[in-house]
Amino acid sequence: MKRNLHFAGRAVGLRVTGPASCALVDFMFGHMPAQGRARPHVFLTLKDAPDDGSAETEICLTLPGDSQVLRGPASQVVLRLLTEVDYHLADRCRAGLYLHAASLVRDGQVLLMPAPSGSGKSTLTYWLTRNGFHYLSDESSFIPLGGQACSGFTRPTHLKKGSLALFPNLEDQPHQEVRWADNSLFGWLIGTAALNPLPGSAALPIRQIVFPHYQSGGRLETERLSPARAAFELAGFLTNARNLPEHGFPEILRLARSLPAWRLGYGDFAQLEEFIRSF
Amino acid sequence: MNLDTRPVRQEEFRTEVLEQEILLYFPDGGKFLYLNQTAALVWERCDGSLSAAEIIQALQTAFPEAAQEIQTDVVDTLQSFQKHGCIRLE
Repeated sequence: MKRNLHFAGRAVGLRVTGPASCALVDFMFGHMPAQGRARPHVFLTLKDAPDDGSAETEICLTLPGDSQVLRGPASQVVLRLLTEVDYHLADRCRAGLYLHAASLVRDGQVLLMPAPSGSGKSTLTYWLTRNGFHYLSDESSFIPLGGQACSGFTRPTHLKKGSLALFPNLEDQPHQEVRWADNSLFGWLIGTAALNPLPGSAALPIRQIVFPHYQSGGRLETERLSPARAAFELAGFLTNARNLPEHGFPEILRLARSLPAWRLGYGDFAQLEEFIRSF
Repeated sequence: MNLDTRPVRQEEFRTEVLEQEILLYFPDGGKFLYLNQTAALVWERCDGSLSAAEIIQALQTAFPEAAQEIQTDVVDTLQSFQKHGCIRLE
């Protein structure tokens, strides 16, 4: 199977052989556009390893540009696959702002949530999809130069081990386990079909930028950010700054001037119900 | 910090004023700095015409109700500017 993954004006090519590898790619990227104008600038190869009697078929992931091969069950290969695709899409993206940010949609407008890895962004994203929001991405969002519409790298959302207990009946959702090299559990990737996705891949206008901060036991705190502060915060989540004119400075200023931005501190999802109503 | 030195903005930094606050951008390294209103007031006075002591005095005159905190704030701000390489002291 050959499949190209298109996002942010770039494409990554996948060359996939074997039923386990094909199933993994379908699960991971089945909701991403397979058609687009860009030609892939890198290719990743996945193929099922020869049967050696293991209980689970192993997958060989070959990274672009060299012969480095990662071999293991899907649960140990999947996160590297996801990271590589995201990295290569961002790496040469020059068409706009490639942000480390979740994006969700309600009433046709986007809630953009830039936040660092490990901050609870994906957990919050999943909770929002169960509370009326449509899913675009839990990790990477794109705004074209001069535009104010946002699209998302629509991939399964990654719930870390500590978040799984927050959601009852999660085992009923399509998911892929993520495991460390020692086979201990790292988390689950929840399939996009369970994330209230929008059909197609249209870019939609942004309504608000929210910088979420989870703190266990913390109170609900909302703070409207000034344009200068919003611009500064946004710059910290721009992953392709080096590819953009003036490192994206004019684009970040433009967005910060025109969009409301908030800092949202919370310690419990129940605190966010009022915030959701006000969106 | 020697309060007799005159802080001078490095010209490479691009300044964008947004509602009395400032975003600085340094093209060489792609670095951004956020200046709140207090830091922006200090930044605007770093043109080499005033010493650090004179900047403190000017702000204390403008904001007498905060005179006590101003010296510490200005020194901290100038030290932060210096740390980030966006001023030189003459």
